[in-house]
Amino acid sequence: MSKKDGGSKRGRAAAGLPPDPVIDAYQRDVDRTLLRENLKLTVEERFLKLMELQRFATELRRAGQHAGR
Amino acid sequence: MTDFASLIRLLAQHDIEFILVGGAAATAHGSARLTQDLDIVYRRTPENIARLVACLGPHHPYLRDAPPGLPFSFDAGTIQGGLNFTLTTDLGALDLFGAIPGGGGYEDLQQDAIELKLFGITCRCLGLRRLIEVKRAAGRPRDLEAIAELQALLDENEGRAPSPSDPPTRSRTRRNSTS
Repeated sequence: MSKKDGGSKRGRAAAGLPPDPVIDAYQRDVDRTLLRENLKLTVEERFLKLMELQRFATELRRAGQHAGR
Repeated sequence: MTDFASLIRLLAQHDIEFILVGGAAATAHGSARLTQDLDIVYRRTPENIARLVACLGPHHPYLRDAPPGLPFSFDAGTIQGGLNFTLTTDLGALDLFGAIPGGGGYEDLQQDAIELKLFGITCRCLGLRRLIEVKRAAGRPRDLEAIAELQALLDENEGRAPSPSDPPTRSRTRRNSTS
């Protein structure tokens, strides 16, 4: 985390992550552009964005149910 | 919908000892995935459980997906007698974990937690590397995409991200694969 996050590390696992070919395969499909945009935000902004996305998803579901009638 | 801001603030303001885990912790670390509930590991001391009951009680905690009318009393005895609780509250979905697979309880995770300052409070969140380890240890197939994203975030944080000259990103890969 960057200093912008207001986070300070208290400790971390010393061991590196062992390779996992399945996860590596999934990782090739991760859209890093979205992650980089998120990493520019503060932690608080990331949660606000999550809640906005939740509202959007709820509205989409409501609209979908309405359209399906 | 879950009001993450109000839930986190509520827990912190009542001095609950907890660590953010799961999708909310992933969001804190930069995940772009949508999560619906707040997952926390709470410390299972009598004092903390008493604070948890006092803090959440007014927000009508009830077992999620339980049949309506099922007797459920959110009190210290219930929490002491159980371990993990998936709850609905007036503020949204809240999962309380006394312990998580591959991670253990509060005391086991504490050393790998980081402090976050948000919404005017400070709270603890499981560190990114440990979050990945816990999800990997849980071994749930539905977590694979989330783990891959968290590992990509770890790469980004540790400067191991692909450079512009490296193999193309997802969208370009897909375009190329059709040619």
